[in-house]
Amino acid sequence: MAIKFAALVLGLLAISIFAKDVTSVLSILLFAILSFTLIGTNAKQIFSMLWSLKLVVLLVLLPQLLFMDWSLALVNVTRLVACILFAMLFTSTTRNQEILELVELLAKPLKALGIRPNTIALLVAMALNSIALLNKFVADIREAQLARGMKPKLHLLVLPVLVLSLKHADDHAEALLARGVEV
Amino acid sequence: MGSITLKDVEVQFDGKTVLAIDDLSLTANTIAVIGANGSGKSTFARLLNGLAKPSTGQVLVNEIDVVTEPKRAVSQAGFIFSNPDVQIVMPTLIEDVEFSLRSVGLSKAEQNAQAMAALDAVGLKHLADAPAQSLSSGQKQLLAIAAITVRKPSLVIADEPTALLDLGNAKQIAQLLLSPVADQVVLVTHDMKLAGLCEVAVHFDQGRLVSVGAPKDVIARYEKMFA
Ligand SMILES: Nc1ncnc2c1ncn2[C@@H]1O[C@H](COP(=O)(O)OP(=O)(O)O)[C@@H](O)[C@H]1O
Ligand SMILES: [Mg+2]
Repeated sequence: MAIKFAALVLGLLAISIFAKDVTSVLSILLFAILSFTLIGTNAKQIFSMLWSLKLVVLLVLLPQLLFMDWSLALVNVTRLVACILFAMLFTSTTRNQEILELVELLAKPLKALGIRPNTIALLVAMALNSIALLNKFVADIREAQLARGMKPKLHLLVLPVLVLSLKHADDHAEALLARGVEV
Repeated sequence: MGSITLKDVEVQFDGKTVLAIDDLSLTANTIAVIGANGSGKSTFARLLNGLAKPSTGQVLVNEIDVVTEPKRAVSQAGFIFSNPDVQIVMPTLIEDVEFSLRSVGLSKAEQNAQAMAALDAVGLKHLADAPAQSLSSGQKQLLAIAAITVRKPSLVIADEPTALLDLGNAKQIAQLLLSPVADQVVLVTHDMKLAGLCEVAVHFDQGRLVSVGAPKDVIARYEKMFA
């Protein structure tokens, strides 16, 4: 696993340093997508995965288009997407427990600063977990708003999601204590 | 056999006494806790593993003082909350159960084997690698039970564990808990049928202990209050 991670880091480094033209970044992107098909991901899943990156892409692409040549901007963004795909490939083929152990290992030096590595690992685990939960909150609130005849709008979601999240954080903290987590 | 003993206990929030118990000793295997909303049931439940601290008095569980030995108090007790969502720590079922064993000092393989067995016992083995958040509420509660029983706690405290579940799921969870899953099970519930299945019932009202004894009698007196 550590080897796989090292390969990931080296691979990403290599991509960022050496992939500078359109053909090489496109072939890297293709390679990333092919790797996903190797682990049994179907076209639909790959498409929805790429689609989920749309915000990131827009956020990165727009400013670059303003200040840079469009082909260079395209290369940069494609490279970023390829890197993200490789990172996703890593996380989807590695058990969370293993990722946590790695995080814990990497956070060891922080011990000197009085930060406990397993606290960091736990934070990462909870972050992984909260993504699914946030989706659920959003779905619940949308439903509640629809039921009351409101048109769900993005800005009307922010406050309720925040409230639900804070409430959840309180209850979750208590549940963690009950499960013997020392923070 | 387990034992719960409270002596001269008072719990205060903001200077207000929300629970006062002079003397209570429980050795039954299954104990129902009943009473109106706000009567102090959750506070009582949370005293037993140290989540709530008494302002005065002593809480002993299996002779362990939960105030002076908080670590042992937490590790000998498992706690199940009403809301199944808040109890999940890890992304997948198996990892969530393994998480409970992280500091027990077992090998990886042993951790996995025990976690699998615990999932099997609640009928979730086939979902071991599924995302925990994709489970139904009933399944999440079963997962919570697996994540707790894998540690083989001597006390399991469940605070309205079936409040958010449909009848079928509620029944399954209740049966599992009262099987019993530990030497002692404390079950906070508004379901009088469920309370009736326990060996002993405890009734709180406005932070006071009203009665302790055979569920039949305790429930009858509780129901009379609303007659
Ligand atoms: N953390 C807290 N801070 C302030 N008051 C609390 C807190 N927890 C409980 N209480 C109060 O203590 C009383 C008993 O609450 P609780 O034990 O939750 O009752 P029950 O579980 O029977 O509904 C209530 O009046 C409640 O408002
Ligand atoms: Mg309560």
